[in-house]
Amino acid sequence: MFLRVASVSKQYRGQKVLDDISFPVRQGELVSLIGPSGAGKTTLLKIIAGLELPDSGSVKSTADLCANPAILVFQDYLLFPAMTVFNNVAYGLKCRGVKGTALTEKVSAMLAYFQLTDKSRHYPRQLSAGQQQRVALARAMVVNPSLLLLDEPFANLDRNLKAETAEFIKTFQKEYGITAISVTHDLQEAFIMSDKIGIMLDGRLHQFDTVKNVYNYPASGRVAAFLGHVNHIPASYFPLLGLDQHNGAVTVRAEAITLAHHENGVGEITEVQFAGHHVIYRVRVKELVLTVYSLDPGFSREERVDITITHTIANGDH
Amino acid sequence: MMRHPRVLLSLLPLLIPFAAIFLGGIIITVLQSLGILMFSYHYDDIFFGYRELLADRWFVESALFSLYVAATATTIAIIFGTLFAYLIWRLPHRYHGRTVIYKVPLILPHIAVGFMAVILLAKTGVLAALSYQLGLIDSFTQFPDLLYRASGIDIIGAYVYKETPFVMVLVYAMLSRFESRLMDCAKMLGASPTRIFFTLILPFLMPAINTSFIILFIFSFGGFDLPFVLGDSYPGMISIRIYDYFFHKDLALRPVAMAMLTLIFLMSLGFIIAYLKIAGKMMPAARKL
Repeated sequence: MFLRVASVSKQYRGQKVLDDISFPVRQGELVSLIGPSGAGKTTLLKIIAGLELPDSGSVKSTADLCANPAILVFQDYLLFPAMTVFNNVAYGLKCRGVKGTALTEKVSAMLAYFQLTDKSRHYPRQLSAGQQQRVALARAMVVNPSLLLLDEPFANLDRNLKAETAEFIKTFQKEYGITAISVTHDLQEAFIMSDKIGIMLDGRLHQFDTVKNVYNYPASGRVAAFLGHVNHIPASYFPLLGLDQHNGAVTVRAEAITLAHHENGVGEITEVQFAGHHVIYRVRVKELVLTVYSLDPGFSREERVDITITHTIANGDH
Repeated sequence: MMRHPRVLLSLLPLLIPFAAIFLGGIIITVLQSLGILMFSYHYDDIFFGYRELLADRWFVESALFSLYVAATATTIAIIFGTLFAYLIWRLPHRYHGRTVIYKVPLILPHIAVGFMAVILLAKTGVLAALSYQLGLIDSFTQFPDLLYRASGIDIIGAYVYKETPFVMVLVYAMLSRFESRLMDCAKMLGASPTRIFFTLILPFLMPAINTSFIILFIFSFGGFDLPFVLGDSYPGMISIRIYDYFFHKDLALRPVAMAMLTLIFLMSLGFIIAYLKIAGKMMPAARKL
């Protein structure tokens, strides 16, 4: 195992920020820790980077962190304001005594890879957020780190740039073969780029698994709800909704329900909300109100519909 | 278009004193240096003051001596002030309040610092007496001459004592706005504390350093009280020569004093321009003031 975070806990002013966090990271993997603001994600990243110490627990790595350190790319990039893009990227190399042609060649290659060649003489204040992020990544990558830590890599980017950046991070991470840990609250982007995902809520790691497993088999109702809107369907509704008999209840994502026009259907549309790339419907089935995300905008209020559940995600522990 | 007169009108309370005192003062000084507005005397040669001034063999020496004292004292104060402020800033935050003692010299008038230096450093002063009592010297005459030295070491020392806290206040205020995570970032990239200081902190501090350098240089270049109390007679600081020409010599020589004032104003102006140009070249991205 390349890196192992074992039972890490941390308190600030008597309040637990991290509570017994453990997870492994394999060489070359990109792991994302997802959670709402204040879940302790950045603190964990700082502990892995060696910028803070845990109250208990440990972070162990098989890599030589002295020769190839772990580099944290901060949420606001923290470029050195009085230096040009070239000098920002060259900084780590200069610290290692690299000079002259070797320095210029390495920095130029990195600038070319991150599409920053034409910005090499610019200062950070002259760059867009996306360009600043690429400078920060280039500055980190040029020293050949053993581990790349990304703190909220999408937080300062425009919405349309986020997915593109996630793909870019995934591409260069795989090309360089670097192990990376990212913390973010941007679900979609984390899904795009990550090999594994950890869900952090209130300082605890609730689930750590592959992207598909976390999404399809959430460890708890809280994890399921954090990843997207879910409906909890009691067993008494199973015959009406065409579900197999189960004990307890099932959890169903809002996008795992399809609607069909039917004048004697089991459900009645009570609310219609246009949400851009999908429509949110509230459908009442007797006393139960389901939330449905649909691409079909053709349903209207008070219309009766048939309901098909395409996928359930867990037996309820809620 | 309508906004400009309004802005001008709202700035009048500031502009009128500025124009009357600063510009008015400069204009009268320049005119009097040319023998104009000197009601008691008439000068056929408008450059009389400047010719006399250049004929005064001590003038150039005084000007160079003032330049040397001001540049040395200010440079030392800038180095000490910046380093001390940095060291205080690096202390754990709970100790910052206790370092307020460094501000004491700020509230002392220059003249008081001058007399403190005399009381402490004169051959019959406190340090000499202490050295004698401790047996370090056999008689007071053995105590080294620290005052009234042609090297200006006494004036420089007093200016450094007075100016260092001023630099510390400005630099510390600037440091408290420094993003300390930049240091974490540099450390992760492998930078040593010295490299971090020279590549990140110093460029950030340049506006405070430049501002204090200019203010302190000009102040000590034209300062009167410390050279008056501590200075050697010749060549003496230029302010003392101006004082002599203005009050102690023939009234007809007043254009010479005014010519000196005009020249030190021009020298100060030239200094600010040269300093900012050099500072700009050394650190192009750092804000100058």
